[in-house]
Amino acid sequence: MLQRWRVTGWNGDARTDMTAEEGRQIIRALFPTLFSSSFEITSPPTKRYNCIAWAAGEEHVWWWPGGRYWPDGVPKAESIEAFTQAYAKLGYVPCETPELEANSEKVALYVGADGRVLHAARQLPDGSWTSKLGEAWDIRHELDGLAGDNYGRVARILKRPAGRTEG
Amino acid sequence: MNAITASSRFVHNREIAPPPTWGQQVPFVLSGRQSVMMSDASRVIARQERRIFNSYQVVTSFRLPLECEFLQRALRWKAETFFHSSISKKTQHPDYQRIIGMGPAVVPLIFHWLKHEPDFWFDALVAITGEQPIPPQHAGDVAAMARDWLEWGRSHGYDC
Repeated sequence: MLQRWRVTGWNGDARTDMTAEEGRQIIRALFPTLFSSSFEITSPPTKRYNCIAWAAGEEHVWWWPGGRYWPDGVPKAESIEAFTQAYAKLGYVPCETPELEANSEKVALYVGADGRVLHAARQLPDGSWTSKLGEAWDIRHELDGLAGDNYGRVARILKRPAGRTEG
Repeated sequence: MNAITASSRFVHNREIAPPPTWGQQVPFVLSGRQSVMMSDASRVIARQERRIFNSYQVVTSFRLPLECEFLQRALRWKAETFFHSSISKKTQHPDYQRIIGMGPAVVPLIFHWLKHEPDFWFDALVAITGEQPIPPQHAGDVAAMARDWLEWGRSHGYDC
């Protein structure tokens, strides 16, 4: 049986619904690397939060420097240093590798060609990664699955001790 | 010297383009035809775009042509930025910038949209009106930000 969602997000009309397979095809069209790597849609679309918030464990606000929620004392810039400082408020520090480590939680920051941060993903306990795609879905994916024209490349990995919820 | 009339196709002995037809003015009227070159994924996106257009209830109350241009640009902006978290990616999109450039005339249309669907029109409203009714504690709460702007709109005489 096809799973159908009421899509009240990017296409604006609650009467419109979309099958999970249609969602998967749209995601693959946006991120062609996902044609060759596995991914799974794990939530309906919503505008309540974005990838930065989702990676930080937040589901109620849209994090972004300038006009949206942004931690106090962190520069309102789209630089990787500013985002690193934002996650430092939650206890994250830069690390070398995205590999799964016992008792650690990791976040990956993606940057575009101009050096501006475009996306963040959070590592799950099984080593896969979870991302919120803008106003659209949460997905579980491989780290490089979202690399490309839209989200750029993974430029920094952050980690903190597992189980920590605030800085 | 050639007079410029509705039927004239020559001005100063140079041929000019004919008056635009309805189809040229409203290029987003979508037919059921699809290019044979479209991939499956593109076809799905095209179908979704048609659904956006066909289902968006606001369209039924819009008048031409300002409303049409707004809706055309807004839907294209939406379709091309919905997967971005970056506010600058959303607000620097050419269609978003053009909508800002359309000025105060589009404010009622934006309020109409916001009334039906909280969305990222806040930066456009700030740019057009010069106002910022969103308190700091609502920053990032899209629904609350939309409510703040609608309340501002009602207090300034907009029907929203």
